[in-house]
Amino acid sequence: MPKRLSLFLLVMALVISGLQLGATDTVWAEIPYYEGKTITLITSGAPGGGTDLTARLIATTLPKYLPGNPRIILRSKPGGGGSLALNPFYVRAKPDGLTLMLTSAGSIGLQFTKEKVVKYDLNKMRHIGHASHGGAVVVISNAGMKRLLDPKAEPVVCGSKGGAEAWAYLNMLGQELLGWNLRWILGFKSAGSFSLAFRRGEIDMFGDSRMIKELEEEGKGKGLAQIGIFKKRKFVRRSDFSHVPTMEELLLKAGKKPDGLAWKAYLAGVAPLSIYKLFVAPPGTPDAVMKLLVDAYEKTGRDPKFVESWKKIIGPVLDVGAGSETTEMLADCLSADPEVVAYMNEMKRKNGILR
Amino acid sequence: MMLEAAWQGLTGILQPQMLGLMLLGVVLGSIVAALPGIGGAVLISISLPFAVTLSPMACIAFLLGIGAITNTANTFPSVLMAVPGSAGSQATIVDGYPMAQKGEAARAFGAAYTVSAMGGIFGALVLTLSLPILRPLVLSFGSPEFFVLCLWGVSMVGVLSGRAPLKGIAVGMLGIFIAMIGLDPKSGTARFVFDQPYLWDGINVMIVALGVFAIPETIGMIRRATSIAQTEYGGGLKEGIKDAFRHWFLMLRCAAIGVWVGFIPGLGSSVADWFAYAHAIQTEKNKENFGKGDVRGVIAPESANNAKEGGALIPTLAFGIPGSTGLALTLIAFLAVGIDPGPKMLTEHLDLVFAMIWVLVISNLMATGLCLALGKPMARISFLPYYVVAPMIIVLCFMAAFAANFDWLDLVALMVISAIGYLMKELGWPRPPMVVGVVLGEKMERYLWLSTARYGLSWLLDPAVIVLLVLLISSVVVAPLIQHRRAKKAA
Repeated sequence: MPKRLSLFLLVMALVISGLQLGATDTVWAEIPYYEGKTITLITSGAPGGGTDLTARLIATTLPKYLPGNPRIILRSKPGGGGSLALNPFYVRAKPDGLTLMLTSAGSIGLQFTKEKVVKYDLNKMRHIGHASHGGAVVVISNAGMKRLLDPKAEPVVCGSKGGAEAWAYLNMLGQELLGWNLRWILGFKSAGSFSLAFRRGEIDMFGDSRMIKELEEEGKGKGLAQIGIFKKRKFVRRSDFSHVPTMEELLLKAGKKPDGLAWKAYLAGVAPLSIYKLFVAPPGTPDAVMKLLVDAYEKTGRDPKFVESWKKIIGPVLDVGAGSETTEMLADCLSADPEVVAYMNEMKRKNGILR
Repeated sequence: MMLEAAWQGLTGILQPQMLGLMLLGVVLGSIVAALPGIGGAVLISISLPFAVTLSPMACIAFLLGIGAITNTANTFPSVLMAVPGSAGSQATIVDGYPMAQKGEAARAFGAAYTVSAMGGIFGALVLTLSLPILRPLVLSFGSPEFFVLCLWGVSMVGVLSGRAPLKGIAVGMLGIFIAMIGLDPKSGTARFVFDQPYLWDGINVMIVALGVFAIPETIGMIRRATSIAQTEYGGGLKEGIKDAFRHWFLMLRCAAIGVWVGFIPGLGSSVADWFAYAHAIQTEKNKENFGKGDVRGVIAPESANNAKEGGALIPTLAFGIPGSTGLALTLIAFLAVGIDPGPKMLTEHLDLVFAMIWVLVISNLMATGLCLALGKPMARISFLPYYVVAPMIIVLCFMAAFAANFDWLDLVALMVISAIGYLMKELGWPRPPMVVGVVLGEKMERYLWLSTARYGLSWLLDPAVIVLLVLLISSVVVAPLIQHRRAKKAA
């Protein structure tokens, strides 16, 4: 038996050490900085999701513009709205430019609403850049359109995952300022499930980027409003939905001014979308390394192959920002005053969608 | 027109470059499927930058080649080590592993791969026949119908509990409780998470399956100090192939279940194999051997999980809505190379639709050939001494669990669930109901909520719901009662 036990332990040790050998990086060099090095790019999304796909696109182009052309390996760490990846990254990642992170707008929202699980501070991280595909479009069924402004009619049923989507703020603003007659049904899982429920007549309204075009073409509904591309506090229509007005335009058309608490809450709600995917390095990453990363990311954003792949895989709109531009936008997203936060929560509570 | 398009699709796919890419997809897909915890979706995700540079036909050959067979090679770890290769091979463990213990691993492989191929081809056939009615077919199921289907699934707990239905119900409830850990599906309220972000997304079903089956069985093997196979030899590959044809009607029924579950977006592959397995127990005669290494317990889930892929293509082709993560990624690649799944495709690119169907058929045959060739040498693993095999299984389990989220807490979760699983094994409590509870718990809650929030209680009067409920009651209550009476009379 002792012989068998020792054989057991030997095989176990061999298997584990074999795995470790395979995972070890051995190549190190000094000049240029990234020569022979490997960057680990952690993503907070599951394989196949928007964050993961964006990270894969970045990983194929960024090394071309970094001195020394490093290798980039990806590590997915989904869950906890991004906090599962961000919390340890914030505390433990070495600030040497070899561990980077791509996260989504959801992580900004979590910090903004001061969720308990958030142990990170995005403001203190070093910002390489961001990439956005523009805001969602809200579609409404033909039957729903007839009831939208009639307070006595059966409310328009609005489907949502959990009321945390940026376009949910668009609908809540519509309720507050334009008198939209809505009833919220929460609990859908994906844009695909929205689309099927919409076709079956289970819901009259939802927001998305990809699924709307086909519904419009089939005559099942029409784009009611869109968030648009939000840059420097201005909204512009997406080029692929140029026929759908932004919320700002709808308000002006109805003779309302886009200001006041409701408008501020809307701005705070949709602002993270202008960042969409945030690319960061750990706090304390030296300026010299940051300069390399920011420059390379800027060039990546203009790279024709990257742009073409983005448009094919993510969507027709690409808005890339880098360095201080991202830092300023992020500070904007995270700096709403407590009065606005309280108002946002009140809007959610009224509609039964407060977490 | 249909025949012409079918011919065009076939000639397009039979070109050497397409066959080469399909073979590449099949080989890569098989390797990944045999490694627990990785899954076809990850492989497709990695292959995406390459796939978007291909022609539409080549993209179909490569990506669907991977997707169509991920449920074929995953039988290796399920049968040999009680480790589910992916979500679609959990139920195979229940009879597959006891077969390996009886020295019948090769027989299990023979049966599994034959029915996998047949199931995959059946799925392709059903997809072809469904082409004219794809859209109404998918839209006929709403949240209330989904809920009743999930309820039907949970009712299988009784069937899967053998002679201990009360214990089975208790274990099933434990599974449903585990499924409730995390953010609640309707409002995002955190439940039982104790401020731990790790628990936000709940416990991964792969970790539960590893903890409930693989680790307890491996500990059992170490305690027995034997190889996996406890007897010398009980039947080989050819015997398994014969078994598959002997039980052709069971295979056909379970393949139909697979297609049916596949075309309902949101139910997922882990549901298909459990539905099929429970159906086998409910309908087959001489059921006392189920759970103890009955080949029918391998045939049922393996017929369903490949047939499901054909079914999952139905919503993808009808509406451009993917039925699984793998198909969601495939869809992205299709869009990138100029294939636009949805209603237009059925009218304007019917040749590409048929190319997809042919890929399902040919890649299933390729994968079956490959796996049958590897069946005998792989089966020898079950005769290796425990001190060689056990460390490998344990490391493989921990790697598979870690691959779920890349978090060390995955390993803690695996150890806790393994302890529960081992206790259940030692005390003779049925373990499959726990996995079924975890698989269906979240879905059942979500659809019950959506049905009630949208329709109040009026959804109970929906004709489709009534029909499904009648079928459910007759299969769960009436049929067993009749069988019980017959058995009593015969006695």
